[in-house]
Amino acid sequence: MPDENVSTPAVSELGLARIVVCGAVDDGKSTLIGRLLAETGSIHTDEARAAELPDGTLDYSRLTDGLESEREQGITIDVAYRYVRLPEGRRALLADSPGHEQYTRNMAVAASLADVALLVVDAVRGIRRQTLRHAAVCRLMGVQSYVVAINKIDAVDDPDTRIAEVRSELERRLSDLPHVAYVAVSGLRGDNVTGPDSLLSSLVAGTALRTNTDKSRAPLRIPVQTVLRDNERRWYAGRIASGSICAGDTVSIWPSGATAVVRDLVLAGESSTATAQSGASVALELDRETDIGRGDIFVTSSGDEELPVSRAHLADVVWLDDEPLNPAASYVLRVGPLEVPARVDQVRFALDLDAGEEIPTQSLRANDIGRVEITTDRPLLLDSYAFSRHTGGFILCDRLSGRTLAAGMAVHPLQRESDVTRHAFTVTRKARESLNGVRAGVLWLTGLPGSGKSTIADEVEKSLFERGIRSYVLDGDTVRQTLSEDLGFSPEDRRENVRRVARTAQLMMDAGLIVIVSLVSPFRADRAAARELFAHADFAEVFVDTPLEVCQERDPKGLYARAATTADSQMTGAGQAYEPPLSPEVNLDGTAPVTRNTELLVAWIMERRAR
Amino acid sequence: MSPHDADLDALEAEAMWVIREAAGAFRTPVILYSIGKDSTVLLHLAAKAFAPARIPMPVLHIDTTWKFREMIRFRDETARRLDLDLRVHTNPDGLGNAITPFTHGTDEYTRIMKTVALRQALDTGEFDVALGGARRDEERSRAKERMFSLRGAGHTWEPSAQRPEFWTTVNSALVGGQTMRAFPLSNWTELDVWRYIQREKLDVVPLYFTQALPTVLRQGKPVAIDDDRFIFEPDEQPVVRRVRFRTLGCYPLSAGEESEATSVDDIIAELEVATTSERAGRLIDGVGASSMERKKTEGYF
Repeated sequence: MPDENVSTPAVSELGLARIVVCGAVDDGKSTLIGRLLAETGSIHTDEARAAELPDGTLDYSRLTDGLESEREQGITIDVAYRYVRLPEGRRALLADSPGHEQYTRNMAVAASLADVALLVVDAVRGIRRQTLRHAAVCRLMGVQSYVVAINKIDAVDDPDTRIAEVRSELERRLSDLPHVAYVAVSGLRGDNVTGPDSLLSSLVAGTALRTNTDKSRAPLRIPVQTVLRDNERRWYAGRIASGSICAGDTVSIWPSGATAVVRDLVLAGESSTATAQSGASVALELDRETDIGRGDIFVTSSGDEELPVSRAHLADVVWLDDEPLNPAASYVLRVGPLEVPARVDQVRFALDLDAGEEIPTQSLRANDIGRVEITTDRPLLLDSYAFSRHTGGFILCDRLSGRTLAAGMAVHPLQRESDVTRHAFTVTRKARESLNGVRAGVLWLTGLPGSGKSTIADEVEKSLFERGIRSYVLDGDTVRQTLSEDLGFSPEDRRENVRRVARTAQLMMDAGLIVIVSLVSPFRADRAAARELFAHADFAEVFVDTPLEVCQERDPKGLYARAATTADSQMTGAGQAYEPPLSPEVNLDGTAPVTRNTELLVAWIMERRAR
Repeated sequence: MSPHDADLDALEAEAMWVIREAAGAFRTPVILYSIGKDSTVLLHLAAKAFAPARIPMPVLHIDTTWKFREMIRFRDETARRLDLDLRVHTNPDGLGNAITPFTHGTDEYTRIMKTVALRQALDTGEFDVALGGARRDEERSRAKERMFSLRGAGHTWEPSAQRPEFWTTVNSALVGGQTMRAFPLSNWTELDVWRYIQREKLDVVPLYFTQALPTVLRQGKPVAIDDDRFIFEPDEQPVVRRVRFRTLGCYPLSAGEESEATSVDDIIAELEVATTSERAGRLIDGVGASSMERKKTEGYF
């Protein structure tokens, strides 16, 4: 039930109240809806006449089953849209959807814009797989509140007991739905359809919830539909998917990243100084020339919002087509006016509706619901569906036939190495670096065991800490006990160890840190591979050049001494060779005082302050 | 702000979205214009959708030659006032064969002069999307239709295999002779249309307001005698009645109703308590329970 303490916002989203009517086939949806329409005065007399049976009685299901084949087969095939009159001059758009599994795609269409779901369950037969499927589709489609109508109570002998049984089963199976109200009705006889504590009053309560969702303070999204040209002037036309906009606002444009001020806001066809809200169709003229076309998106200009841009996204999908999902196929992904080639890389799981479990699978078939990873040919701004249906919902289409194969609801972007996009990446790292005052980077200290790497690393970090610069030392010994505890010291294992350390350093650098790696890393090829992960300016190979004799003499951990008594030692400088760098960024004399070497490295770091 | 304004704002924004999508996602859009109140609202919304630029697509009227004379006058005035690229098409075969609503059955006349004529005009113009003013509340097969409704080669509609439609994402792909019909007024009711006409102060064809017209009764409803081509049944005599029209089409097939509504406000007051739908006034829908659906599968709007 709605929380009475929630206040109505000053501005609410533009839109009609929408109710999806669903449930398994033969649970009596169309009859119940026909009854509801008739009792609320939502139908005309001539329409009622057209729904009469030859004997003159009204067949309520014929009010919404508007297709010839539907009346022939006595089933609902596609969605019927009808207004129902609510009290106080209000109304809601009902989408009466089919119950058959083969028409799940049409049911999903009906649910896609709904605020409220009316889920009809037959009191005689109780909960069925289609009941669960429809509940799952509604939840995925973002339906906010639910009215579960236990129907056909005229057909059971002991209604009270049966209603309690069915209700307790429903409560158990539908426990993940928000805002559920239960009501026992008879569509055939008209019990409890209207009046106090009825189906109608539950629907009214459900639709009241939607007025409490205010999307206008959310980040701005206006997908551009078309460009309007009048002489030399240009306006970019689209509908506000979220946020609000006013003349004089500064906006950014995705994907170009350009920023501009709105010079003229055209709202409902006229220049306006009002603030246009989510749902409004607007056109924007900007204060400067920028290259903007259909599918680009106006977004909030402030830099604190990290856009969900990636070439890979995690998403839930409802598979609609008889042709199953083909992971090898290239599909066309559409989100609003944007089109981009896409593949489904991986199906993480499909939903087993009976067991309510996630089961691993390779593909999805018609009417399956599953979670997938999707890769697009270029970076895509895809909001989470929970944030916006319009910029977080997408469809997958077949290239040749043009058919709509699946409806998808984005969960979040995935960051893979290949899709760390320039735009999102730089902004993020920059923001973190600004906290640190210096550009993040990696100092890679290499040298023989006992050359003094760890001592220098420790001193450098102390010095940075005093300056308020965040850093971290990735030390070989620590890494060996943690990240690489499964590795030995063979050349292969050393290569893998270097790779892991390099990747970790990369993540830390992305976090905005100065990373000091202290690792023997004896092989040139391995160090070169590590260097390749970084931009030239962000990586410094530091050779701690200490003669082997000195290291052997220092031998702080007794490694050289032990190696001398071990046959086939894999220790660098004993059984294995060390390959010194040929052209390191910094060359430190390992026999010089530690303070001097520390100063050299700190200077290198502080030079990054201005950049 | 009247309580209906929020709904009208929402319907307006949605309709503008559909119209812009037709312009943005397709190559050769066209607006179908039937001169009536819905078409009047559609044109107004198109003007808003593209303002301050002009409507960047042609406007097509299928002229059966049997429209009310006032309608044709209104059409030509509107085209001048809005500077429309108006294209008018009549089926030449129908004219050559002297097809009239008096000499041929309603179904045959409608098929030749409206459905076939529309197909001819869409093919000639190579239009890939046609915007129309149809509403879901008009008729129960319309209630089933998508806002963007796919047509197969030959403009056929497959009502039991419609392309799914989600959120504000339109699958605009067309292959093998497919075309699209788009209905910006899908979620409007007759009352919404009139309230919008009232709010936006739109001019409509005067036949929507009650006037004294010479009529005869057919199927118990008054049919106006708009010109001297009218063919009387043997026992028919014209009688002047005060009638208005809830829907306008070919005059021999449009039944009026006795009314005293002489303004938009009157019409709204009348509709707020009306118990019959507007299609009760169309003689063409009386034939068979699914005549609309059947006509649509053949390409009718």
